[in-house]
Amino acid sequence: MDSKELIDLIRPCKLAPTAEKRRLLFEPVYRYAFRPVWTYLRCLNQSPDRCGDLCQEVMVRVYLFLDHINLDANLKGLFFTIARNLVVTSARNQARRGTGVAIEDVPETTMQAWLHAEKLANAGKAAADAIASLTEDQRTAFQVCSVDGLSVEAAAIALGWSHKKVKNALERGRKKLRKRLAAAPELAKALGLDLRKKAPRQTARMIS
Amino acid sequence: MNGWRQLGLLARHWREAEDRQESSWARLRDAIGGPFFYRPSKQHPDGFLDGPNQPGLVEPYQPAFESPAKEPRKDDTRSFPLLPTDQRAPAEGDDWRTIFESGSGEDTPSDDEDQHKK
Repeated sequence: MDSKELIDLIRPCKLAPTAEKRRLLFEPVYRYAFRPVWTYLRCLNQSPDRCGDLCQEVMVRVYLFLDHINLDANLKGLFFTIARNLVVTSARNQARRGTGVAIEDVPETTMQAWLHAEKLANAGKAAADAIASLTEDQRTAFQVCSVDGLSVEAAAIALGWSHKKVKNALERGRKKLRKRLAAAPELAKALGLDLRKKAPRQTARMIS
Repeated sequence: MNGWRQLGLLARHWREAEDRQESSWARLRDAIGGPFFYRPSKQHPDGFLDGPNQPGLVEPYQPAFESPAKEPRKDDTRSFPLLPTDQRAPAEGDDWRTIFESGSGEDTPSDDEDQHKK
């Protein structure tokens, strides 16, 4: 969705005569902006609970100031600016108490940030769909070994499976994921994943 | 970072957002329909047309449904001492420590009883 479509969503909210109508019209704005704002806040190292609170705060502010929003301005930037300012305020308060991140670590809001967050949100959907296509065993093995970083031996002990079962589930899961990600080569490239089939092992005889 | 790990984390973050989007909207929808948002503004000096801050014009706002109860945070380990039911009400000049520490259910001798014994 581009800026024009976002303006088309916000304009009726601004012009709605009743609060009830405003509220109904505001829903598509919320659904459109929630994920990019969430992703942006996660990129700022906010916890999921904190992200939920901050996302709501951003939406409340946009709703409160609907009448004052300039539709000719960069609307996408508006959401991120509000989110960033909330994080900065929170970081400043935490700095006073001697906890939390430094304010310098909070990046500037730019159009790039929105595009990056949108891309990340789309990539997240593709990744979640790909992982959802795995069987339960394959998903478990992938989560434990690839995401949580346990070795096959440690995963076998943790899950109570045999070493072979973990290894097979992991390999089959990765094979399936490679197939799925072939449809999204940009994502695979961004993640640095090699989608080609595994190269055959070189035996000692071949080397000599 | 390992590409597979990144893939897993991307999916995890996406699912986190998925889980929260609907519940967050349910809370927000109730909130923006509530009286807090109907305050008068420059554009609407009398408040919004159907705002409940205009007594007599409309009925007070009734939420269409109950918002889901917020689950307690896992890291919230605060605990507050509860007064036992048979505890006498704290009077002026009481030390707060004695009020909370004497919560074993046993009656402590009051000043009046002490005076009678004497």
